[in-house]
Amino acid sequence: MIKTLSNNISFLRAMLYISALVILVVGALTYRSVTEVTKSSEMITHTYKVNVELEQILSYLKDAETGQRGYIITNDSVFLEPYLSARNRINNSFAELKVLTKNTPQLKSKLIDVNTLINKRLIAFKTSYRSLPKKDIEDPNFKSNFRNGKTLMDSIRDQIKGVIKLQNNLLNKRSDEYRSDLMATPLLLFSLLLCSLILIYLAYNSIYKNIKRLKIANEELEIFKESTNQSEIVSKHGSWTWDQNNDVFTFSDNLYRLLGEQPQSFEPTIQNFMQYVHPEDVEQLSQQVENMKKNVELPYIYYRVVHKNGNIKHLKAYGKSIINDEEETVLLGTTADITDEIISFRALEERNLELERNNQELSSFNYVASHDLQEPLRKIQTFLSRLEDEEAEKLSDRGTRYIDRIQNAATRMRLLIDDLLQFSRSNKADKVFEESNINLLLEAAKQDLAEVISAEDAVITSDAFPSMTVIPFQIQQLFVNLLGNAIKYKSEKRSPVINITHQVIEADNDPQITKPTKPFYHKITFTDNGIGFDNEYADQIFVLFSRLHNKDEYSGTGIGLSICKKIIENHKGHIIAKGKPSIGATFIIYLPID
Amino acid sequence: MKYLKTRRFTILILLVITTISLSFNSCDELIKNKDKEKQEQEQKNKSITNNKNEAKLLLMLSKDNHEVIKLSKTLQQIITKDSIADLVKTIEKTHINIAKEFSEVASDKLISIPNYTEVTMQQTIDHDNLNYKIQTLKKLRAKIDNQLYLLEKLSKTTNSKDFQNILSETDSKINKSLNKADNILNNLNTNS
Amino acid sequence: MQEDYINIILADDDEDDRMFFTDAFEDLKMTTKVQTFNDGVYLMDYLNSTEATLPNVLFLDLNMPRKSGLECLQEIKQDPKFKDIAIAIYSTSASEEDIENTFVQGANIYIKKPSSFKKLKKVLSEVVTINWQYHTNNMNKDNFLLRL
Repeated sequence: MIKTLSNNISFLRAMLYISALVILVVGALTYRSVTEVTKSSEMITHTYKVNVELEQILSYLKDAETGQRGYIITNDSVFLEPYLSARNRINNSFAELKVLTKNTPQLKSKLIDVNTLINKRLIAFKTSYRSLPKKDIEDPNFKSNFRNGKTLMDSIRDQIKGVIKLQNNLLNKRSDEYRSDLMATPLLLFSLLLCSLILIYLAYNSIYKNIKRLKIANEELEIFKESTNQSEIVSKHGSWTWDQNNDVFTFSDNLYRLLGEQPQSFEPTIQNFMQYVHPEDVEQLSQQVENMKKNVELPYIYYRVVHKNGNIKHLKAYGKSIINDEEETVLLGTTADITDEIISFRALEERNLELERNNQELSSFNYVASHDLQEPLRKIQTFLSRLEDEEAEKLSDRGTRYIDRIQNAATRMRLLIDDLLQFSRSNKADKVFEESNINLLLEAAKQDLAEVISAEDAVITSDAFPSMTVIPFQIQQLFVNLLGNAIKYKSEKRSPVINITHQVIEADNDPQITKPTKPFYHKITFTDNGIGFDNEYADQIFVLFSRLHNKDEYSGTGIGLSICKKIIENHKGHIIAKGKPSIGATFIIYLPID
Repeated sequence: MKYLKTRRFTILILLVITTISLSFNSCDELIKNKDKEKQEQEQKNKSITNNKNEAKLLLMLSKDNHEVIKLSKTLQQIITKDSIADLVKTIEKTHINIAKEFSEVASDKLISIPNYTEVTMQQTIDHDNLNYKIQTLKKLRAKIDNQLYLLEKLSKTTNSKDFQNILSETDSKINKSLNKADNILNNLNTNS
Repeated sequence: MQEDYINIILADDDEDDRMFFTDAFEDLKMTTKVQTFNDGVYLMDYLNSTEATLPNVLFLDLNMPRKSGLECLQEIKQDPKFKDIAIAIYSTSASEEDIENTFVQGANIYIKKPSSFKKLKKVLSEVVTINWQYHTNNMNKDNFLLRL
């Protein structure tokens, strides 16, 4: 853009120079042709003057002749007047001619010829007049003289005609020369003017295009400026430039707002700006401003400003120096209001501390649960067992029954504590995902449940699983809990049969997956033939401590499925339960594939 | 930017200066031309009037010259004394010479003057009248004197070198003729 | 030192547990000599004293006041004169963390305190009759925790 414009500017300058040159040439040519026209008209006047004088001379001679004849006929001396003054008049005419023909030597020689002839003619007048005897026109001598006079007159006429002809020839020759010049001049002038017209049009075109382009660019800049202003307001930042050579600052409107002032309400100088800086930060900021002069790129600068109303704002500034076209260093900077960030950061820090404290409390609770709670319970159980073993015969039947009841309660309490521990452990943060063989984990789970499986005669069938990236002990726990659950809630009428299937599905094709994070999921389905449940409880069964059955019928704690849900959540998956009372339950697990 | 600005400024100033000087120059030329033309025209007019005067004076001179020749011829016829007749003859010869010179100059200057050959004798009254002789001589002398006056006038009018030369020459000759004429006049007066 | 006796020491702050422990060995009618200490400080004082009889098997409770079982374990394992003592961790909890730590520190076996006296006797007789030489050579993380 700038480059094409500068190119255009040099083009325009060339146009200007060429046009000026053309106009100068046109002016010079016009001047020349006008002078030539004047000259030729002068020449024509000159020629006509000469011709007129010559004709006059001839007419004087004729007058003289006529006068003489009149005198010869009438013998009246009145007729002689033109003859007497003829010489004088002719001399006057010649005097003029002499000046007129000063610059044409060939004419002069001709004129000398004419002059001698005229002299002869004048003499001839006299001789013929003298030779005239008294009234005798028939005298042969007079006749020959008279005839001689006529021939002289003729030759004078011829001579003068010759001079006029010569004169005209000269004139024609010169005007021919001028005409050829003048013929060429208008054509040249016209073409030159046409040229300059085209040049002017080209220049105009170029200027027009430039202006159009500049206008568009200006509009874009205007829009850009406005949007920058808006974005500065929205993002709470301001920008500034610092021309270091001249020590001139410019502050954007929003920078003033960051200082709590109206836009452009004070002169943008470093001193004025420093008045707003928090007194504790002034020294550090001045130091960094000094650094800005030396370094090209700078680290972030953090400082505080104090508004006139006492508000303290945290600002963060960043500058970068740029060398412009005129070899001047200009620093471009952005200053952002990070007060909100700092406030939220502090709040976050506090929350983190609180969370840490909570976590500590939780882990200490874990410890209490696992150790301190278990210890008295264990002792109760141990003493009970010693009572049963060593003092059984001393107790009555009822006493033995009570001890049995106590033993049951203690066992149940231990179960609860163990499950709770398990649940809180599944919450723990240190989860390590590993590429694991799911088949082995399932085997291990079956191993854990081997006793119950053989006792209940349960049949477990499963697909072969591919390896998955999971937290292995949690997945094993999941299998244990799900299989244990299926066996625990078996139907009275049949021995438990559990079927485990696996397939890979696309997230978009399964409506059960809400808000999928990955395009593909593993789908593992546990189907049993147990007592099942009503679908309206499908969600409720995952809630902690929630049970669908009386604890006398089934010895559940209400924690197992909550642990399962927790584990699946840790894996960013989903678990769904479906059931039909007295037919069976289905648990479906979705695990995302990376 | 600064450099550009100064350059633009200098170009502008140069343009203005050239325009001003050009227009000044052309105006000056125009005025000068007009003056020159006027002067030329004046010069022309002056030289024309000059030429006219020259021609007039030369014509008058040559006419006087003819008159002198004519009178000297007449005197030769009426004067009997040889010595005086010879003197008159030399006057005639001198003036014929002058007439020749005049006609040469005249043809050169494109001035038409009557040829001295045109001078024809009048029918003379042949009587030995002393008074008539003295009268004629006086007429001759007056003509010669008039010639001198015309010569002086012509030499003042003309600025051509040829003319000046001839005029100075002619002047001395005519002066001599005048002296001779005076001598003759004295002679005649004493004789009588 | 009497070779016929198997010297056994238990360090546990719980009085009931110490009682269960000694009662169990009495019931077992084995040729054992059982000593108990109330906490780790007493234990280490005794072991470091000159007249001490070094035990064949040392049972350490983890959670004790003043000096915990884990600290005792570290001290014992640092001192070469105790290198022949087999150390059994005897704790209420069986958390992964404790098992891992004690295994790394060089304990020989981890016993979770059973909740019935019958079971306790069984466990203790098992532990005392282990061929420690063999057990130590084949020890790994899986058989470190005693399962019955």
